[in-house]
Amino acid sequence: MELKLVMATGRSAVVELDDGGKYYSKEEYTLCVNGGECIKTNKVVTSIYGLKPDTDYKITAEYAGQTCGELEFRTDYEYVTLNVREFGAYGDGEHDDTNAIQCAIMAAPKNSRVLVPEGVYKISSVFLKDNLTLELAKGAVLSAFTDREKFPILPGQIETYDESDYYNLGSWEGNPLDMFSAIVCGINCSNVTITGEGVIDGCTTHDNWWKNCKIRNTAWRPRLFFINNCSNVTMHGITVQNSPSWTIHPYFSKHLKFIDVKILNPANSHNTDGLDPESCEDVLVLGTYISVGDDCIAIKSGKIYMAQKEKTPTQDMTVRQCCMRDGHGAVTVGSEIAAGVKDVHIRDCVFMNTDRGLRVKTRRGRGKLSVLDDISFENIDMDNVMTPFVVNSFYFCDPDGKTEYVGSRKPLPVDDRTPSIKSLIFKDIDAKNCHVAGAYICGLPESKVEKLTFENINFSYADDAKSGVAAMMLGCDEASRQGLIVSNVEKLILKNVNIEGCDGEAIVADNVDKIERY
Amino acid sequence: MKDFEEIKEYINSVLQEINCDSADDYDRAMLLNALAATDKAMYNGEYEEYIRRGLDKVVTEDNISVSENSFVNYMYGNVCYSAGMADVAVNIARQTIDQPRAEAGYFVSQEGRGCLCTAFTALSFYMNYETRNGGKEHYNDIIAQFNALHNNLFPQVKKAALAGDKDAFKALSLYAAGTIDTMEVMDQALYEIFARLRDIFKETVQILKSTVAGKSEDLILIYSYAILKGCRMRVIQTEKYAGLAESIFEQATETKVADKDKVNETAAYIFAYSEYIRNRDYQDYGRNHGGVLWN
Repeated sequence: MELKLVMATGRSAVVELDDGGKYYSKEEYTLCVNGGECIKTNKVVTSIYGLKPDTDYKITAEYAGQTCGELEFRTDYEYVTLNVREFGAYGDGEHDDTNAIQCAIMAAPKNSRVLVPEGVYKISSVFLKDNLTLELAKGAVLSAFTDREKFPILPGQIETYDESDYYNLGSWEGNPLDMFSAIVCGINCSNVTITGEGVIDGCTTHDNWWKNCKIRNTAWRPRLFFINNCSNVTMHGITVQNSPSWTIHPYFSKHLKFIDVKILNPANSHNTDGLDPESCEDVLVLGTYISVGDDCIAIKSGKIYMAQKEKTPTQDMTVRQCCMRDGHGAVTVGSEIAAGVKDVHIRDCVFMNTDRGLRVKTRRGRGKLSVLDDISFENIDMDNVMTPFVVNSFYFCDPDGKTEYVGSRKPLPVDDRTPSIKSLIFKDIDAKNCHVAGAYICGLPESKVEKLTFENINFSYADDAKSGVAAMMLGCDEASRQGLIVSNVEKLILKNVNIEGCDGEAIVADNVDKIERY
Repeated sequence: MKDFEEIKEYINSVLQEINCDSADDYDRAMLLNALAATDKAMYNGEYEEYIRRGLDKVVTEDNISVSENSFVNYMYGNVCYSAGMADVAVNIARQTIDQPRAEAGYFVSQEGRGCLCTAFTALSFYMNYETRNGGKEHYNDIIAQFNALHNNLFPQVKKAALAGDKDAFKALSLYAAGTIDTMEVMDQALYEIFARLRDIFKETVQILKSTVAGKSEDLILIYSYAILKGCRMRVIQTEKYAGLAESIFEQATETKVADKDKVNETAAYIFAYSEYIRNRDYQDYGRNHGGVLWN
């Protein structure tokens, strides 16, 4: 076992116990701080709280009475703590504490901490600023109002005075549209850390934001956490739950870390993706638990207008040691990916009870900038996932998604509207208790998936396999226990792929130019 | 700012006496569209009965056919939607299948004439239909037609307008009005189309702004309507454009442009009125009316 330091703030640290486990460590360890207070953990990525600033620490990991790892570090310097109670916040679950918390944030100097102590703080929307550490202590809940009139609006686009350009603030499903400000929102800020054991609760139910959710009412629904053009932002430790729409939405931002975060939304909630990095760069998601009503992680880069205007793909993203469950997809690429997605790697994760494991959703009309390349999934355990791998190039959940243009299975001319998929790699994956299909891969006939690699993959099916629809596209019928259904692919590499218990042909390939089997 | 009630009384007095029978089909359709726009602006259905009576004269067997492949049919289509007669509007939309087209792809009249005003007479209805009943299947056709109009007809009309040609100014005014009307009824989720229409509208408005001086009121009221609507929808900047458009309307009110014997001018005046009275609605996100402004 190797004990590694992931990060440290003035008041906390995160360590990684690398013993080969995925999200959960293989053994339960005891972590001791400076030879004193100890905590037990069975998570690979574990947070340690209650530290003092500017102090040397030595952490040891013990198993079965033996020290099996140790590390030393110094916590960050801290100038001052600004307790929101001292700024007038009530924390009683009744008063509107938005202004008091915002005041503390705006008053915070560099190298300081805005502390939200135990209590329930009713807020609408608070805004981050540069060089901020916001700590939600154990028992602290930022509990959001759900009344539309309490929330500010972020306009989609504001024309510049000289009429030559637009300033983009709001975003909805890949377009620059008016949206309510998020419960915690950052615009053009950098060096922000949100840390602690507390909770941001959107308090959404089917009686408020999730009611008639497909209709824009005044503006589109708020996110729980939205950052636009921000950099060096870390979210650590906290729980975010009951989001009005996408839970965490980083937008045109870079150098982002989400570490040991818990993202919880009911399985029947609407469009409550867990984490949606859109046109972002350098993103790390580590040790995070996600259980939501839509996709756990959905990687995006906008629809065609923003893609052509900004030409910013999502790239350089790593997801490690995460547990995802109960969503439509564990990790989804799409569907708003008009500027492309590349260099994305998911490894050492656990997917449970999701409809799909990897889910690529794209369609004609995303455009020629929509290039998916260098995306890999490695060392992943899937259990009770309906269809572990889905690549859908005919995704129909758009206003014009069910048109002949999107749905036609005949090859259409390749033009500026045609997206492409280059390299997808799946390696060292154990998918047990599958239901619908092992993989359902469907490229475009005029723009085939260039290279698709399955290596060291084991598929097995649930005894009571349910039937379902593998991909949201016209012509994909309900099915059960299908093997690998692959169409419109240039090169399919199958290396040590084991499919146990499927009905019918294990591999059904249609319009696949070349299959290499080992 | 003029007194709204006073203006409305003036409009109502003209409507009581207006002689639509002597007007042509286009002017009658214009008037009903203007009243429908006013009803929508006031949220009170005051002209519902008037509009119904007007439609009763042209609806037969759940369809309207003023003449074969006439653009006026589409204009009535928008009125039908406003009057809750969606079935008739859907039937009218079938005309889009057989509508003659120019080689470049845009709709032309039965006689083969193309015009920028097609945006106003046909394409706004086409978009309205596609959004409400057409499954957005032909959004791409609509924007292709706008692009074709813009590439093929716009340059020469622009040149003529800049040279002082009144007909060119009128065509551009209707083009701007039709474009902003089309934007209003489309689903913004197809934002690339919305943005392209916005570009077209802004370019057109620039030319109109530089050529409006000295034009007679009957020509510039549609310009006023388009500008005020563009400001209301935050497509152009109110501080730069609204003042002139409002003064055009106010001047037209002073000179009593609406007249029982001038159906077209009256319609244009009422169109401008429909925007003059509601220019805060979109800026306020429609909060006072349920918040649902966009489709």
